[in-house]
Amino acid sequence: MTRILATCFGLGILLLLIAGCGSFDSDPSTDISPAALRSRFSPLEVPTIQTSQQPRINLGRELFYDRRLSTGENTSCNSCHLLNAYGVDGHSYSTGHDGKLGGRNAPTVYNASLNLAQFWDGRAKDLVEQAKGPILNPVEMGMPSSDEVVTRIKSIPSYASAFRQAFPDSSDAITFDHFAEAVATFEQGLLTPSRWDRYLDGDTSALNEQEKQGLKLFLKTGCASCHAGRGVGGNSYQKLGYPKSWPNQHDLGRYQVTSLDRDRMVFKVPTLRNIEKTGPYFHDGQVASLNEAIDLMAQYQCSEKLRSAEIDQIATFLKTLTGPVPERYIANVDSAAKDDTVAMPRNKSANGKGAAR
Amino acid sequence: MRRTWLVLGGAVTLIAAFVLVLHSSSNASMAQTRSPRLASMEVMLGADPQVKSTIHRACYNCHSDQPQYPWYASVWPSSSLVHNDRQTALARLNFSQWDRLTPEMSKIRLLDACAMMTDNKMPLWYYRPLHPEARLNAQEVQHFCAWAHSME
Repeated sequence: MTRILATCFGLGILLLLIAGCGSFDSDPSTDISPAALRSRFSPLEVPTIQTSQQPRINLGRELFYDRRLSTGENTSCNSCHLLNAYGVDGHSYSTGHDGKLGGRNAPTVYNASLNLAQFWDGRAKDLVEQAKGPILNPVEMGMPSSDEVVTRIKSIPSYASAFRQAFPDSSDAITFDHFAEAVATFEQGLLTPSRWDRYLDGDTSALNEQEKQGLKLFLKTGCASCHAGRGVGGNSYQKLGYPKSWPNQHDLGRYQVTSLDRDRMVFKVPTLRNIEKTGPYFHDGQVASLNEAIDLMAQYQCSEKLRSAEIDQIATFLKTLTGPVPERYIANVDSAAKDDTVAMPRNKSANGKGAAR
Repeated sequence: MRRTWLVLGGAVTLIAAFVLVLHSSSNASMAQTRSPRLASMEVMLGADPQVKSTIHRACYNCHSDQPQYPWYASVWPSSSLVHNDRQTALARLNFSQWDRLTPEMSKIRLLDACAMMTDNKMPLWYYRPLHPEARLNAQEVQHFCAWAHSME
């Protein structure tokens, strides 16, 4: 009798154990042929710049580097998003015009045009809207108002013709909207195709065996559930720390934008392009190493505890997402210059606090 | 013999105590903050009635903010397993939160779902015996996939 009861009890427990929803199969395909991968990823191509867009791009580049467009005339977009350093400054939090720290890690501006929205919490719907943010943010560039920005730009003689050329159909070319449009137009060209894109295009020799093993593990772990598409991320919002609760619950992410309970701890999934170059990681910039970031993501988003060798493998793959910085595109050559040589940003050596830290 | 019954009785009492203690906390932690219906895949993409019916019946328990919990979801230890598995499932695919995806990601998720069904990986094999309603026939899978591909 006891044996029968024990057997029934055991069977019952077993049934209950297996009757749950179950884990999602995180390995929909280990087929890493370019054809198979293109159902989930897309290669990045740099579009040819139309001649008509060139003046606007040139203007946007000039504005991006211009430290005079901050209250202290000491901070530019490039101060926190250093274009020759993959669009980041390498600090957990960036320092603004008056020495105060920002509230979140400065995300890279490279490939930002692929994002579904801008900022970690997606509060700007596109690059144009985003460009209007930091310049007016008291702890970033600190300009008091959009009118003051326009006044400042108008006080710099060289901008008059640059704005006219960039916005030839406007009677009043220097406006705050045009400032943002020019910066955004320039940023749309900050694209960094890499060996990964060559692989997706069919060149299977673009990745070596170790990198392919890393790719398989990346897929098997479930990373590609969120880090997919052309940007290998940047195209969805996700709750940070899900299923396992994220340790730092101070910054509630998208909740601060929507005030909806469902958006607590929800952040934009960042792109993984150039990820090896864009640390420290996460919205709070509290994780310095890529390997630690992989370890945390596997634990907190994928419920996987990876071994050290596995983390190394995934990191090896992720490094194939690093593309060269487009030096010619970011070179801050005076628009009047006709020099074809690649020039480094003119204020590289005087990069405000960005380079000083 | 009497001693065996005492041990068995003690074990049952202990399990019952566990169930009572964990029942409320488990249910509380499983409560989801529901998303507005407008944010759902079926509304955002205008899914046809058969697609709606299929995903409601076979997918929604794990992959939406509107689960219909079975009785064992409130009984330890299966409650914690259901909870953990559902969390994992939601992290990968949540039909109720389609507003969090770009069109590109929406397409990827739909084609993923199609592939999982086509390969008979979803619903999970061990979920089916206690959820016969979740079984999918070939026509349903084919219809879902055709619809998913038409979203491209």
